[in-house]
Order: sequence, then C-alpha cells, then structure tokens
Amino acid sequence: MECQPIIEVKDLYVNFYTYAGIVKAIDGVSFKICRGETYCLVGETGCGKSVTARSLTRLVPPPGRIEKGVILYYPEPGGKPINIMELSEEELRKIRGSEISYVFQDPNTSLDPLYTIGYQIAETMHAHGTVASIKEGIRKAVHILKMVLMPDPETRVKNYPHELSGGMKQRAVIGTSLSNNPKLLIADEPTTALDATVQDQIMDLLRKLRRDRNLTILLITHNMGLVAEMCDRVAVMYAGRIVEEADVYELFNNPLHPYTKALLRAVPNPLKRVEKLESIPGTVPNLIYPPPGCRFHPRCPMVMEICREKRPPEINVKPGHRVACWLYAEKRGE
Amino acid sequence: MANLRRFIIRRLITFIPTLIGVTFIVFIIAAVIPANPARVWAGGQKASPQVIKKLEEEYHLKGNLLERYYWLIYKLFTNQIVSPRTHHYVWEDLAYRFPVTLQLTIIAFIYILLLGIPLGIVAALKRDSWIDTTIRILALIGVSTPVFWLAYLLIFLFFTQLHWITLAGTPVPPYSITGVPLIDALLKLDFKTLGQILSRYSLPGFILGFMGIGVTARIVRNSFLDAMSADFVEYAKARGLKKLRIYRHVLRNALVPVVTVLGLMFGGLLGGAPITERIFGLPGIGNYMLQSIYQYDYLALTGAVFFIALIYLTANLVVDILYAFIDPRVRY
Amino acid sequence: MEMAEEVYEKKILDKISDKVIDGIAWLMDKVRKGWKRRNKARIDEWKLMAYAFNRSPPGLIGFTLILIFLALAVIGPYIAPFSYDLPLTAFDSTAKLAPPGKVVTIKPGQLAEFLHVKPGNYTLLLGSDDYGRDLYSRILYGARVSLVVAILIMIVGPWIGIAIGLVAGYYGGKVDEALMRFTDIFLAFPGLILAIAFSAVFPDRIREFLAANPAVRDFLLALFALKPQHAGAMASLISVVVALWLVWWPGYARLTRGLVLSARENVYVEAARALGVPTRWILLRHIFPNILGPILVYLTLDFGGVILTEAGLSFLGLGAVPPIADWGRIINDGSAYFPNAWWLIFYPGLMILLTVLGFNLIGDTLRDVLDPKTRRSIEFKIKKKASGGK
Repeated sequence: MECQPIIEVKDLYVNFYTYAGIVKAIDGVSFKICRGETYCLVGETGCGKSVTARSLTRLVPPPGRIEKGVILYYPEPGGKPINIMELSEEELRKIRGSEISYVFQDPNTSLDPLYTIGYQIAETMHAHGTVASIKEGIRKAVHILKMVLMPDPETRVKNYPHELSGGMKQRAVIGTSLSNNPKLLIADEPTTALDATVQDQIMDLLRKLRRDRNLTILLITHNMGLVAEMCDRVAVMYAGRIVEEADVYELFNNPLHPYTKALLRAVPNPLKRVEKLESIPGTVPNLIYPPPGCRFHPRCPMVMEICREKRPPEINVKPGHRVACWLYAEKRGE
Repeated sequence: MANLRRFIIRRLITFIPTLIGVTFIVFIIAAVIPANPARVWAGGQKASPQVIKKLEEEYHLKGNLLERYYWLIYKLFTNQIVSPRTHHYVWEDLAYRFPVTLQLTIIAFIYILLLGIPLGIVAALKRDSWIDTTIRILALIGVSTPVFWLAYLLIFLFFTQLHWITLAGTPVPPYSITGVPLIDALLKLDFKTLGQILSRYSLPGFILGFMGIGVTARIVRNSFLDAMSADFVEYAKARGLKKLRIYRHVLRNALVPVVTVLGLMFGGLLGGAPITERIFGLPGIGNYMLQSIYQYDYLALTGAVFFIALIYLTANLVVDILYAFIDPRVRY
Repeated sequence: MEMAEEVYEKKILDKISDKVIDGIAWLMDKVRKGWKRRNKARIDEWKLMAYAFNRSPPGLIGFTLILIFLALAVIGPYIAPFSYDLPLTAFDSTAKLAPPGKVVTIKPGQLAEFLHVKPGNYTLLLGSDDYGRDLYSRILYGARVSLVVAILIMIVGPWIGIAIGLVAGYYGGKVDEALMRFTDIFLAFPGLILAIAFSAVFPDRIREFLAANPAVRDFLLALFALKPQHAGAMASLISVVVALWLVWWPGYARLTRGLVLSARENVYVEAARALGVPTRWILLRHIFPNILGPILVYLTLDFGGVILTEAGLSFLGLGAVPPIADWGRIINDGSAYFPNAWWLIFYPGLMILLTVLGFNLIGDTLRDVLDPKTRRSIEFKIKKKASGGK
C-alpha cells in the first residue's frame, strides 16, 4: 500500500531553557505518518516521545521552544500541505482538537475537576463550531459517550470527573478528543496511569474506533507488548533522536540498532522466545550535556571510535527500515 | 443539587456545637480563673460584703458550671444581662458597636480584594520577573510588619503632616436602613456622609487589612501558578479551546483555594479589630472586649466572644457553601 | 577577578555549613552508636540543603538578622548602659522625653551610688521616655524579653498540637474524629481574640503560683533579665505565654495529622506494623523523624508570627506591664507622646519588624530549599562548577 502522508516532520529541534541549562530534548527528528496507519513512538521515559508528539501542533510548554524544523500537515489525501510552523495561534487552535486531537497519559488530571464531563465535551465541540451552543453540545455528548462505550451515558454526562473511575475518565477523554471527528489522534501513553485490566479495555476501544472511523493514530508508549499489538510502523527514540524506524514485524524480527536490540532483550518479546531478560547497562544521558557523536555510545556494547565523534547518518537498509548507526554505514561503505 | 443540599445541612449541624464549644471554653476560663469578679465590680478592696453577695446572686457567680453557662447564654440571648461595668444590656451594647467593627472589616476587606488579588495575579503572570520578586518581597515585609507600629507611622503622615484624615467621631447619618452607616450612605447615594466615613475609616481599614494584602497576594500567586500549570489546561489547549475559555478554567480553579483563604481572612480581620480600634479610638466590639477585660467584666467578655463567634462562624459557613458551589468535589 | 572572589566566598560558607552538619552528626553518633553510618544519606541531603541555603541572598539576610537578634537577646542586658527601669530624670530633669542624641550628665553623689550608676556624661543614642528611661537600654532588654517569651511559647504550644496530630493521625477512627472536632472548635475562632480573653484572666493565678514556687520564679527572673522586685509584673508576661500555649496548637495538630496520614502509607511503616513493632515505637522512631522537616519549617515561619502576636498583646496592655521593657509595651507606653516623641514608637517597632522579617526570610528560603525541584538545580550548578574547575 502506498503511503499517503497525513503529517510529516522534517529535522525538528526542541530545546528547554531550564535553570540548570539548555536541555536539547529533540535533536533532529524526522518522520512521516501515513493515512490510516497506527504509528508508534517507543523509548524510555525522558527520551523525547511526548515532546515530539506535542510539537506536532506546537503544544510544547515553556520553557520549551521549537528551535527549527518543518511540520507539514496534509488535511486532504494528496492535497496541499499546511506548514504548522508558519500558522498563527488562532489557526493552530482551529486545528487542535478538530483535525489533530490528543489523549494524554493521566485521565485523572486531563479533565477540569470543576466541570461536568458533558460540559467539557460540549465546549470542545462548541470551540470548533460543531455545535451551535453548549446546550446542544451536552445533548450530543450523550452520543459521544455511547460511542466510547461509556456505561449509562445519560447519567454520566452530568457527572463530574471525580465521580468516575480512571477507565471511565479515559473513555470520557477519548470521547472529548474525538468529538470533532479529527483525522489524527495522538495518544500519549493513554493507558500508563490505568489498572492492567482497564488498559486492555481502553486499547480495545482504540482499536475499535480506528476500525470504525478510519482514524490515523500516533501511539506513544514504552510498552513493547502494546507496540506489537497495535502498531503498523514503529520509531524507536533514544535521547531525543529516532535511532531506528521500521514496520512492526521487521523491527521485532530484525532489529538493527544496538539500542533497539537491547530494548527488545529487556522486555518479553511477543514474536520471539527470549531466554532471559537483560537490563541495559548505564543510565539515560543528561541532555544538557549530551554525549557527542552518537548519543547512545556510552552504553553501546559495539561502540567504535567514530561513534564518539560524529553523529551517525540515517541509513535506509531496506525500503521502510532506517537506522541511525555507524555500524551499518561502515558496512555499506566497504 | 441534592448533594449540595445535603452538604449544607451537614454543615449547619456542625455549626451549633462549634459555637457552643468556643463560648464554653471562653466562659470556663473567664469565669473560673479570676479571683473574685464581684469584688472588682463592687469597687475592689473597700467593697461591702452585702454588695458583693448581691452581685454574686444577681449574676449567678456561684454554683454548677454548666448551669451557670446555660444561664448566661440564655440571659444574653434574651437580652436580660446588664453589664456591671457599663450598666447597659450587654446584647444592646454589642449591637450598638457592631456597625463600627463591620464597617472597619468591610473596608479592610476591600483593600485586600483590590490590592491583594491583582498583585497576586500580576506576580503569577510575570513569574520570576523583577515584578514578581518585588511583590514577593513586599508581601514578606507586609507579613513581618507590626501593624500597630505602621499605624502610627501612617497617622503621622496622613494626619499630622497631610491632614487628609480625621481621627475623631464616628459619622452616623440621620437615617437608618440597615443600621450600618456605610451601607446606608451607599444605598442613599449620600456622598457627604460617605466621604466622612471614608476619611474616618480608610486608614484604620488599611491597617487592619495590611497583613492580609500580602498573604492574599502570595496565595493568589501560588494558586494561579498551580492552576496555569495544571494538566487540564494543557489538555484544554490541545482541545483547541479559545483563550478566554481556557482563562475561565484557570480562574475558576485558582479561585478555589483563594475563596477559602479569604473566608478565613475575614475571621482574622475580626481578630485584629481590637488593636486597630484601640489605636484609632473606634468604639467597636474589639474595644468593648478590651474594656471588659480591663474591668474583669467576664459577662460582657463572654457576650462579645459569643457575638464574634456567631459572625465568624456564619462567615465560614457562607464561605463553605460558596466553596461547595465552585468545587463539586467538596459536595461528595 | 570579582567572580572568582564571589565563588571563593561561597565556598567558605559551604565549608562552615559542612563543619556544622558534621559536628551535629558527630554528636548524634556519640549519643547513639552507629547513627552516622545509618543516616549517611540524610547527612548528605542536609549538606545539599545547606548549599542551597547558602546560595539564597534572602535566606542569608534573614540568617544574619536572626544572628544579630539572638546576640542582642543574649548579651543585651550586659551591654546596656542603664537598667531598664532607671529614671534618668532623677539626675537630670531634661532627660524626660529626651530626643535621640541628647547628652545627659550624671553627677557623682549618693543617688548615683545607690542606683549603681557610674557618674559621667552619657549620650542617649535613641532618646528616652517620659520617666527618663534610656530607650536604647530598654530595647536591648526588650530583645531578651521578646526572645524568651517566643521560645517559651514555642517549646510548649506547637508540641501540644503535634502530639494531638500524631495520635489522631496514627489511630484514626473515633480517636481521630474526636480530636479533630476539638481542634476545629479552636480553629473556628480567631486565635488573637481567644488569646486576648485568656491572657486577661491568668495573671492572678500565676502570681500565686510564682509566690509559692520561688525557685521557678527566680529562674524565670534570670531568664527574662528582670529585677526581683518585678516578679509581680512578670506574672502578666507569663500569662500571655500561657494564653498563647492554649491557642497556638490547632494549626500544628492539623499539619501533623496530615503528615502522619501520608507517612503511615509508607512501606516501612506497614512493614514495621506487620512485624508487630509497638505503636509507640513506630510513631516515635519511624513516623516522627520523617515528618520533622516540614514541621520545622513551619515552626521557623511561625516564630515571626509568635513575636508579632506577643508584641500585639503587649501593645494592648495585656502582656508585659510597666516597667518591663517589652518592645510592644514600649510602643504602648510611648503612644501617649506620639508624634512628638516619635522615637519611642519608631525604634522598638523597627526592631520587631527586622526580627520578624528575619524569621520569615529564613522560613521562606527553607521552604524553597526543602523543595526537591529547586534543590536539584542548585545541585546541578555546584557540580558544573566543580567540573568546570578541573
């Protein structure tokens, strides 16, 4: 199937200006999401997955700043792209929540505790002109809650967030995010804050919604099991860079980057039998003074001289499988 | 709304025990500990035993404590207690002095609202700038200043040097609607009386509210910062809500702790009234309390405490109900 | 060059605070064997907090103010040129309400001998009051009185609340309910009003008590640096202390209860309970040390409040009575001569302001220092400097 991009990120740099120094959180990230697929960003906590996702609609909170990069959004298949970086605040606002929607990690804090679920869904629709008034929105909110399989939606619509369980809250959040029929849903660790059984239910819901509504999903997670279950294509991030990107089968069967390999050895591999889980030696680098060259080199078992000095190029080993590692550059150079 | 009603009823049920608790504690300490109030009332060492005995009987100074407490509260409420010091009915004395204290508190409260809240919001919006630092330092100095000292400095400036204010009399207009001259003058749009009231009360009000301004500024700043950095604000942005609407979410959430603090502040102001009223010679309840204490008039003292407790607890009740209105989590 | 000097200066402060903390650790180790080894992480954290504190100008200003105040309170009565109740008008009639800088002559004679004053010319640095008492001397004595009153209040009042909070938080259920309702009654009322009501009724009883216990009386007189003939006046001062004990605890009860409730969720507490460790032991050994930090910050912040409140009560004439030189009382006495004798109000008030400001600055900084976020950035800066120096 040919890729019809919905969003395309080229050479993105994001810095955070903290008291301790400048954190180079995202350092030259490029990727593309195709229409209708589920694209995953995986990596350890603090590797820049969430910042990347938020950058897609320039939602990076201060003291963070997008330094440079191009973010192209394609509203129509094959149509002319919009450069998100050049939009005004108001134009951006119109895209957020109606074209590109988010679901954040913790449903307990995503909703304003002082307003009912129905009201918050209604105001999201009202903000984008989907409904003419908040009242009408609240009426429609019942249908939306039905869509996300909320039990007893007629009552729940009048409930405040604290009256719902975590899973129900996340359903409400998903419903709110989908209330304007967005084309791209960015789910940032949508189940991390939930109980294991509820996690499955929420993932089932996302799968069902994707099927029913032909949604494109960007899923951010650190859970390799979820990746295998949900994703079409995967990008592995480490310390603010994408180190490897491939289709999900290829990645699990033929990981190339030493970090990806280590990551797969550290979790139960759903596709392969792993004898023993191994942890990755060393710690995540400090991104105020990131290691020069390849950012993984201090922890890499296959480290070479060049890794310490020069940033590895991105190499397309196969169609749809790229890796940023000197190991493969050398092989090709030979 | 059913939850809200239940909440209010439950809150009302705790109201009365607290009121009784406070006054009983004061009564016990005030009534039991002094040597012999009757002797003091009768004129000290030279008092004749007959007069003392008569006073003891009249004011129920002997006997079972619980019964004495009940007797006092009952008589206070039915306005049958005559203060041995002022020879007026205590309840009438208090009702007569109440408008003075109320006006003082209202004006102090206005200062807190008009200065404390904007300063706090500005500090939060300009976080970590020099404006924020200045406001923070001013707030810190504010809570460190002995208000009675500041009062004299300002009296020197505004009264002795500039002659902007008056320090005598309590302006009372010839008409009475609510009994509180400030409110009456406002209702009648009587600017002459209003001017008189302001020139008499504006400095005492400022002094009374002074410490609260700094405290409020600090709390408003912190609760605004908390609300602005809350996850739901980020999600509201991600939902593409308009700026004004996001501000509404921030404002309402920031307001929750502020309302509580302002409610408590009201009680704090009542507590500060004795000092302010003494300095400025205002005949309010605080001053009345002090006079009662100086003269061992524990009947009037308990009455005043009861009165203040009634106002304070009512204020708290109103705040709690208001709180339940803005924060559904409280209603449970 | 200037930069280097600044870094050097800070290094000295850090070294001093390291020494102090090591000293405390050494002492604790003496008292309880192996304490130092067991609490290594805690000691390091203290040091880090000290570095953070050393880098906060407001904190250092506050610390300096408090050091000065403490020094005055300790040595004030010894360096004061006159006693707090010496009427200089006895020697020089112009000493009445003398403005700052006025020179008073004390002629040699019987009177001077009788009052233990050295004859000579004295400059009244801050002026004098209506009895011709030297304001500078009275302020120095006042530092002692204010500090002792504040300490006496703080070593009892808050701890009533802390004890109640510990018990309520740990046992929960009916005990908690009962204790917290009781606390609510006190919280539901302005503390100052209660303190005013209480402080007025205690003096008689306290006077009787002091008369019956001369040892206590003499100890307190020495503590306050008062003359024996003013034991009666001291009773009113103690009365304020007792009154403030009775109103100064509810906030602490609330605070402690909340802290205990979150501390008892900790795994080690549950483990200790599962192992059958006695309750009292769990409370004192496992819970209390872990909630002490926030309580201490609150205590520091509160010290200023106590001093202000006591000064306010004295100003109302409820605490110190003449001739005791309490700062609030000096202002009360001087208010009759305002604005002509402005110094009688200005200087003691300034002392109160600076002292309370000192405590508040320290408390504010401590709160920042205890916040892990602020501390981390400082930790980082120090490390950067260390690596940059290599």
